[in-house]
Amino acid sequence: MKLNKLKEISFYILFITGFSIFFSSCGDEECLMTSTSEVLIQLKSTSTKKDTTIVFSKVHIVGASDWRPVAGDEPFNLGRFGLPVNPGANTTTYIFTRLDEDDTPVVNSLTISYTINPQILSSDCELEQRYMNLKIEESPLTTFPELILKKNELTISEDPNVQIFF
Amino acid sequence: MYKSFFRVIVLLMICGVSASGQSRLKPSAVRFGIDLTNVGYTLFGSNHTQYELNTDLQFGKYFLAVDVGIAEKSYDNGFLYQFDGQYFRLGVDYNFLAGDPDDNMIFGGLRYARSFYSDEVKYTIENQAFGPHSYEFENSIKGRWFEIVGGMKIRVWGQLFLGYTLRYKFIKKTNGEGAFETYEMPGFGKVAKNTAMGFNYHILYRIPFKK
Repeated sequence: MKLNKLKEISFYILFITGFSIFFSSCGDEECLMTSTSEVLIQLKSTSTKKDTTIVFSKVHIVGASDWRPVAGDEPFNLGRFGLPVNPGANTTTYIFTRLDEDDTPVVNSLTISYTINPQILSSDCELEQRYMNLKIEESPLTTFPELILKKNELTISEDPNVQIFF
Repeated sequence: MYKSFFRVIVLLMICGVSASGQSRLKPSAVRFGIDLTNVGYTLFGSNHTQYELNTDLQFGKYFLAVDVGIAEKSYDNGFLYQFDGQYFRLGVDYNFLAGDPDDNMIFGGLRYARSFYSDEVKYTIENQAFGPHSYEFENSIKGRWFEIVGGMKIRVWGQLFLGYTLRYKFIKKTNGEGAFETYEMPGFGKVAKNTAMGFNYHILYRIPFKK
């Protein structure tokens, strides 16, 4: 009888211990989003390799509705700026128009490709859509003198994805 | 896949039977049961259906344990995620209470587990420049993991037993992921972490073999 009582007690002790260990391991999951749907572009000077700014008379994103890289009217004086990628395609082309010293329009384009990967952080969080494996593709229009891919994933960060040299 | 599975079965049986001694080559009893934890989730949880059958075959102090389960689950939180699949676990338990007149057991053991399932995610993204866009991604996954288990099984009435198993799941691997990372694997749980804990409460019926 004593042995049975001992077994019963040990059963409940171990049951409660197991139950506690299991539930103590079930912590809340974080909903920290690190992805963005904008490619961060930084303009650099070819001669000095330092950051620079360029006045663009127009920045057009192929497939997008009327969209402006900064608030306000054209022209835009840009140095470091984000441009949205097309979430319905694996490539996005940007067409930049500026005026040279003779006020002649110069058109340059940039085409990037990427893969779209949804990631579920937790059932309690929003779904995070990641844009990964970023590449600079050959553009159908005249491209820039020099383009460098610095980071191949679109994340919330100060680090640019693409550097454009003028 | 199946070659490795059968290798593991044979290895476990050899280990279990040989360790229990020549006089215990024949199994002395078998227990069949169901996992009440998953029945509870199915009855009282939302968007979750899971059933698991538990079996163990007694070879003296050793038990060859087999669990088979099916699971179906969905989340709807601005996106729809659902999975549907099967899993099994196979392993050996050691009874630290061997010789108990009621055949109660406090046990520890190891499991090899596999899961076969499909999952999908559907969602819509609103984009300021491009407008809304809807997505659908699907995976067909094969996964495996190992478990260290411990628990108790106690006779409550006649040949009826109640018991529980605490599981530490580790060395997880999945194959077959496509465009999106699978979120949850039947039998394992959330796959973002390499390890997981599990807890099951069982009701089992024991059938002793005639000597």
